[in-house]
Amino acid sequence: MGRLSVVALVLVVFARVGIAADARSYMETQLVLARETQVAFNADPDRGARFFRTAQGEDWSCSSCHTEDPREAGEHITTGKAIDALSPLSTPSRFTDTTKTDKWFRRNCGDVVGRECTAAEKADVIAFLLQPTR
Amino acid sequence: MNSRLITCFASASLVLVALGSVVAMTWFSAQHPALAADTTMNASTSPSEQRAAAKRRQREPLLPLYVSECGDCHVPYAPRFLPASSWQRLMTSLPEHFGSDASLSEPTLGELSTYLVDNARTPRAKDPDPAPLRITEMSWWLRQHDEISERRWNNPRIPSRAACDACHAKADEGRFGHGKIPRMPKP
Repeated sequence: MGRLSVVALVLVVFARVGIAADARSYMETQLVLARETQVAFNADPDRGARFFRTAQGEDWSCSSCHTEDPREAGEHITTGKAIDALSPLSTPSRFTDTTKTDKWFRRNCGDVVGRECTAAEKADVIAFLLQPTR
Repeated sequence: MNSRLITCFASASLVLVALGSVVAMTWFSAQHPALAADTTMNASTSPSEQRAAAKRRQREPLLPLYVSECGDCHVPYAPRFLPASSWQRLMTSLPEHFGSDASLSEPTLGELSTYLVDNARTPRAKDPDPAPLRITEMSWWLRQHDEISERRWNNPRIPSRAACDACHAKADEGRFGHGKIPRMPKP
């Protein structure tokens, strides 16, 4: 029984790592870009959380639609359309399609920040989304 | 002599006009196959056949690319809800789409514009000009929803008039029958 549960646990852990792998590799790409200008840059989930939850100059914040807790399902603020949880820990298909990720960062950063997000901001946000707690 | 010259000139211009319209019609139907098919159909078929054709169009599934690109933020509104001129204005202003950035990549934008224009509402003489951008400002929409009181619109289970799927269960597939207004939640 013990052996079986260990195998199950290992499987679950591997599945988890696999799920988050796409988001992690997207974050790595952003980190490389960010370090072109800030050599010692590192992604900070707390900075990502602040960026995610507070207004960045426009009317909406990321959390207006995605809720304060990105592991929860959200709702489009004007149309009311349901939005699956943004965190890849809740919605495994998140960040698996780079074209889609780029498209949504471009659009939503336009709405929230009024410009495209920097690589550093994207890395911070993904670090926040990958946090298992909070 | 003079009258022969006039006849000659008149027939030449008639031929030119006829040629011109043939070219124009061919060009138009090549640009908008669905629209062109509609206009010819209206001239030659009975109202019941037209209704049957409209029903057939209603049952046609929505283009998957349209559903995936536009349906993430809102109900993928059926192309037949708005005339081509509305879709053209919407698709050329996506970076400022009702206060939100809904920009698309160039190839996607082209493909979706063609789809929406080709499947747009058949233009009616009474349609306002310029056509509205909001479906809820179209007279057919207002007429279809005029029995719904403001109190029922304020039902928290209807997030907005844009959320067709609150009452029309198959709205996401482009299918609309009689809606079912959700029951008011208990206070």
